[in-house]
Amino acid sequence: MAGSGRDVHRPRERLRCRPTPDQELLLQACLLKGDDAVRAFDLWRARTDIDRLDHGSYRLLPLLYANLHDLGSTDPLTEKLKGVYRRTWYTNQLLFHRAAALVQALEEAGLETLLFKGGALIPLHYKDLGLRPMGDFDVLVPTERATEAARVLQRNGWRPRLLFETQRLSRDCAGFVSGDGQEVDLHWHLLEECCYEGADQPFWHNAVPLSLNGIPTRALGAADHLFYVCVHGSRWKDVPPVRWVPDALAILGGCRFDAADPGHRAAAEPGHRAAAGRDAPGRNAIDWNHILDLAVSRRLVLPVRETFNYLRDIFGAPIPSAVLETLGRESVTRSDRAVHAILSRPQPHPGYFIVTWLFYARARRGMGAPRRVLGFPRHLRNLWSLEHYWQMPGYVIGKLAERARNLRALTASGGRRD
Amino acid sequence: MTYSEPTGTGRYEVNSPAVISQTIDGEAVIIDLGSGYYYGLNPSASLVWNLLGEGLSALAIAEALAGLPPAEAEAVVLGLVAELLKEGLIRPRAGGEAPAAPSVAFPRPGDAPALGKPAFTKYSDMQDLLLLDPIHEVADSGWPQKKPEPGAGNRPRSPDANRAEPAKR
Repeated sequence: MAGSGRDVHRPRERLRCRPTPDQELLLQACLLKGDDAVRAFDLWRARTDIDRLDHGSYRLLPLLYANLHDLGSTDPLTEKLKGVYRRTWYTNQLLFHRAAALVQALEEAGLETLLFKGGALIPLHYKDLGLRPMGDFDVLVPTERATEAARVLQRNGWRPRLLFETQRLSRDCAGFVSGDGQEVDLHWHLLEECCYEGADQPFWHNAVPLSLNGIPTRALGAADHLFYVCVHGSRWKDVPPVRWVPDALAILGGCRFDAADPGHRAAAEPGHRAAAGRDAPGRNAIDWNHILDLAVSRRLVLPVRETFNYLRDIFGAPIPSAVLETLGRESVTRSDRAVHAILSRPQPHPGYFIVTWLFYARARRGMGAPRRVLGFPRHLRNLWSLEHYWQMPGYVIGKLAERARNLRALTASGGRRD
Repeated sequence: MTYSEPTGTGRYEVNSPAVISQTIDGEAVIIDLGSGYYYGLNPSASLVWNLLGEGLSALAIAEALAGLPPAEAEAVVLGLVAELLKEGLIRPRAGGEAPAAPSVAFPRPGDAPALGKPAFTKYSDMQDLLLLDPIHEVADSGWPQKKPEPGAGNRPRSPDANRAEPAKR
């Protein structure tokens, strides 16, 4: 990557969308081993009011239960945490049961399916349905068959949350809900940043077989999943994005997921590292060069660099130094830096117009400039699922009001997001 | 559902794939995926459940409940098996011999009385389960046990008004 307007070599940027200090303590209590975890838990307990926990932290509680249980904790909170674990196990079992029937229907209709996020991370990496709460199930289908897949979903009792066709033309996915309230996100692209022809080809190529309650399907390969989790985790969300940390460590086999190294003490040994290009026995084999290629070709060097540095600095994640050094040397364009900055900030953000334009323009690289410009209002209308153009100003005003409310709430809570 | 009366020598198995279970910290929890019903077993019932899953007969399992007189232990186990059959959670095992050495540990003599009599609690309102806040609305024992209502003393509210604590004897 070379040329004008480039900002070369800015190593060790601070993660923009970083967990708060309390969330970081909770993450350490969930993920570290031995005395490090106990210390983090005690500090977190002293600083946190469990009755006012943000939703991102709440989603870590089953993992906290499992770690405290392994540590033999007798804290009175453990029984309630065990209840959260039981509830997670229960709701995930029901969701997996429904999702397996849906995947079967799609596969029987001749549509290839690829699972990612919880639907694949739990069976492949967490290996315990009680550890990771899920709000919905994510299924990727080939881009050109999205409409067919949507029809299969609707025949099986799933209805789209918004107009499907407008979403297909403007987004990477659409949400569907079943009669009993279960939710599925149907994706035809993996990343909202990369909605162009061929963008998903490597993900399909590297997919691994997965049996979902006995139904054969596919899951993202370990390197692709790590890449996805880190990019997704670097973005601002209504629910504070902290779960990406255990997700990434589960894929990497780091901290409490490190079966090969029971004596591993991540926080106390910041120098702990895997040799570049090799992974310790028992860990998932990660093709680091593939991740570097993805980061550069998808213009996502910054989110990968920041999240990898964070995982390594705070949790001693087994990410080779050579990978971090290569990412640190990689140049980043101003526009990529701006996109990353905007997506890391509370949404809706006025800069999201710019991001939307950039993603739209990238996806239509082969189109002439006038057609691209003229087609943008239509794209926005589809993206916002509006029926008429005249509704657009009202939509924008509504979003600006929402932003003002969000910022007021953030200020009032001192940065906490409940 | 029709079922035959359980016998002391009968062997049973989990009615999978419609029924799934997991033992969490010594207590088995079961889900009937078709109905969404959730069952929580006490430690004694959890032991019976796991030994049933190993293919042991009710008579053999009764021996594990060593704190009870043999006849009472057998009656207790048969009673629980009957309830589990009625709920459709287990079915008669199709053939096969009992395992030579079950992987579930039998309690040592003297442990059994602490386990108490086998019992389970059934939760049949899925929406109620899903809406129950596992931090603020639950008893000290955690989800899915609701916090006692004011004025209800120490007795937890029945989880299932239609079928309160069916197997407790």
